[in-house]
Amino acid sequence: MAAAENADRRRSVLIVDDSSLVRLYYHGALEKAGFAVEQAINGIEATEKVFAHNFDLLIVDINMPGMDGLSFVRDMRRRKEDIATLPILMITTEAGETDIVDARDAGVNYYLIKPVSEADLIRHVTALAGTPP
Amino acid sequence: MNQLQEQFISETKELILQATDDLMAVERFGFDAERIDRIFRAFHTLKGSAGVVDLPAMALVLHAAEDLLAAVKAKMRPVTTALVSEALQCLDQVSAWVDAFEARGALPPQAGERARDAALRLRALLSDNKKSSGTPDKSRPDWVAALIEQVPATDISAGPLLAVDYEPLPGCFFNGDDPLALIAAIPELLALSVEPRDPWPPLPDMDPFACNLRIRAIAAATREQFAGIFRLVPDQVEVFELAPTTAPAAAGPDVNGSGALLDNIIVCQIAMLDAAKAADDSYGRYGSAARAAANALRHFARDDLASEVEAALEAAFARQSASLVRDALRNVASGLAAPLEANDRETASPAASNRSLRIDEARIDSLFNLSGELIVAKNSLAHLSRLIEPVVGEGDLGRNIRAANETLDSLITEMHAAILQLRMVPLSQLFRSFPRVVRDLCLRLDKRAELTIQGGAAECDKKVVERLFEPLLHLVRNALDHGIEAPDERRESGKPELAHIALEAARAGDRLVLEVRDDGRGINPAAVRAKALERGLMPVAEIAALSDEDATQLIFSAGLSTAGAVTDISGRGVGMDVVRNTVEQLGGKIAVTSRLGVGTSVRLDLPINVAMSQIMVVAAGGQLFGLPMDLVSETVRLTPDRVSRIKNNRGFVLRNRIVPICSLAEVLDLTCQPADSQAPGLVIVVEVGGKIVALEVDAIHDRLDAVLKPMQGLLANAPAYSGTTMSADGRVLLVLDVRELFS
Amino acid sequence: MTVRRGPGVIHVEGACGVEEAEILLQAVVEAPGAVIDWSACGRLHTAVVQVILAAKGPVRGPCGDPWLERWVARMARQ
Repeated sequence: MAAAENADRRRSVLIVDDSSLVRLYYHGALEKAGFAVEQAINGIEATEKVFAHNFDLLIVDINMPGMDGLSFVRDMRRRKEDIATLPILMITTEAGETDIVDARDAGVNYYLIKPVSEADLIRHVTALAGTPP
Repeated sequence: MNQLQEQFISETKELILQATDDLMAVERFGFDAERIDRIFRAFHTLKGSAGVVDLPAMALVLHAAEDLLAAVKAKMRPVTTALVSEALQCLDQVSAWVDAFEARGALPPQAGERARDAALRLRALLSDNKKSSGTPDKSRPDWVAALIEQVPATDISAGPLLAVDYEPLPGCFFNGDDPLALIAAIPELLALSVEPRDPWPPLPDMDPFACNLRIRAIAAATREQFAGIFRLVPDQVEVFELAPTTAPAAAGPDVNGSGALLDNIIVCQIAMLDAAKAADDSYGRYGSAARAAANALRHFARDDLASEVEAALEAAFARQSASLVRDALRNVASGLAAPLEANDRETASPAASNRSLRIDEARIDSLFNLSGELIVAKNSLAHLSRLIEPVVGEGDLGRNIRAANETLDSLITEMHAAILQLRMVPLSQLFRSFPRVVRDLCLRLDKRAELTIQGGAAECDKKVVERLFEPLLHLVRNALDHGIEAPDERRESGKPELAHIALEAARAGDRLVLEVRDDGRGINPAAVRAKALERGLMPVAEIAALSDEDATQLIFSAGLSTAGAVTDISGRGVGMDVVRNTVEQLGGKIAVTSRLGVGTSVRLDLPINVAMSQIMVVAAGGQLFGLPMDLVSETVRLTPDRVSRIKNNRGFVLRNRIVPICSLAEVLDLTCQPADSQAPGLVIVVEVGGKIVALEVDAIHDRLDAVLKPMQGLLANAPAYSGTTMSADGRVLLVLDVRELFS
Repeated sequence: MTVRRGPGVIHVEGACGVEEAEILLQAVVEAPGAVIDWSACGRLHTAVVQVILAAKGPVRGPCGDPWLERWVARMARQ
């Protein structure tokens, strides 16, 4: 892809979170900021979507029933090529450092601690998705 | 001034410098616990010391600053430009007071009033102003996120989602309002928080009829529904939409001080790579790390580093090696830190300076003078020992005298060099106030510029460094005021909004080269020529004959300013001509290069040591004079046929330039020997103030390294002489100030 | 309808309007540490709820008003 085309295209993100309220909230904020947004309610749905579309960034909540966030990330990192190298932003809790350390070990690229304000979300997503300055 | 007060003065000055650096670093790179703590402790210590030496006004304003910093330390107040500005201004005030205290032993009379005003301004930043503490743009306030977290995962289909912030007036009960009843009327309530607006008073003091609540809620309701419910209290309610809208806006640029985030992202990738255990996720790890890092780098306009990372990823994939990516990221991390180093070296280890000794400058000066006299003495001894050789003959005595003389010579030279070193200070001392200058000027001029500093470790004589401050300051101010364009203009010309000023120093042998470079609009040679014409600086033909490069150098001429108006920032009394004079007085040279639309660079070339001058001894009008070598370009023996006469002036051609000839004896008003028109003349070509002149002398003798003694007594104000020194055979040699001779 | 004192207990019963806030506050001030029992309360005016929140004392529920129990009770139980 030519650098110029690549630079200006709309970045797309996938929100993976079991709370519809959270998904709605992030979705609104990100769409307003110019991103193409999709949602997944758990790791399984997220995996389907990741194979179906190209995303620039995944936003994953650490606590999900069923396949929890960390398992999902570990699974992603073992996939092939473009899927394995997807940048992942994890929303963790501040419950001790273990969450953050576990996230790092699982292969998460960056983390934010709940609650995440809209301003912080946008700031970090624009940087990690490579939005032009 | 007693010892306690002296200690207070020197400690305070040091703390102020440290705190200034830390404040600016925190403004640039974001909250840093260690730095904030240092700043807090600095204010705390300053406050205490002010109390000890009984300066209550100073203590008052420092106390306010300390409280403010305490709030920042506790993360209850964010680091904002306004806060940093106030803190810096506080330090400025304290610094001015310390100077006054040092000079007169007391603070100026209005100090108390100033202190009260300043303390008020500082404390104003502590109070929670509801309307201004929220984000100025239309993004939702932070409490929304916290409230959302309270909601257990529920199943809501996409639909309206609103947040409301309801702060009833204290007297609302008297209006018949029942705030909670209104909230209870909200359909599809999802989250609610009810908090006291102000801290609850002790129960006996509480007024049961004054409403002290702040109510916040999130609901899946429509604006119409909300409008209906709150129709009687619209002034007390703020409603925010949370659901996605259909019109995407462009992602805005990061305005929050990007430095810290980029650093953090890079660091996180490195940490994630270091935590790798299994081998089967290796590609995913280093691939995603590279992608995330490159993304962030491009977002922060560091395409150069992003390309490095991407290249490393390709290589890593080809070789199945994660370490290539890890190494590239490490390089990027230190590449990001590099411009920081020059500014930050002072703050990086404040404890390191404890190994130095505070010495009175006067002591070093007297040591230095003694050493200078020793040099003169050794020169005359050397001369004598040469004279004595034929007398004493080839025997042991002669050899021993020679050997002893050589030993003495080298020891004294070495000692002089060591003492000279004592006066050497790193340029970083000079540079450290410039980040602040640039910052303040940018705020004032509404421009955005970043200053990078390099070569602060280079050392130079203290006297030179001190005298360089004013000219450098003028050059930097000039760059910001006239060179760098306003952000709009820059954007239109396709330049990054953030302009760049570089302050760089490097040693080249025994010279020091300083450069002030900007990427602004450059100097227009046509404009300079036009101004020169207007001011009648030189004949029209000469102006026209100048190359563009030479025309640009005209900015150093007195009386020439191409700026439309003399602004108070760079116009007052310190013109480029004064800058050049100062530089030349220090024995240096200055030149400017510029490309229209691209930028300007001013280069200063200075000797590292002003103390020792190389002197050329010449004879003119029957006397011996010293001519400082740093101005001498070359010496030429002129045969009469090369000399041309134009009216009363003589000149000759040197490499396609016409060089005028002046007889040094005439210039010095000495009786000339009648010129032997057949004998070749001896001229010394000197370069002064951008011009070239050939000084005609009778003879050129030897050269010597001399320490100049300033002119004394009756001759102290005699123009044309910069000092005296001793010639090898013990005669006093007047050293000429060539600049003055031709000014 | 009313604020009624018992031994170590302050009962808040029925629907209470704004004027009950003063009575409740007085009761709480005069009997610090008493439990506020709102299990039989009806609709409470904000001013009354405010006093309960400010008292920060022990509260016995569940609150008679389901809406308050759902949304406000946890804040009273701090």
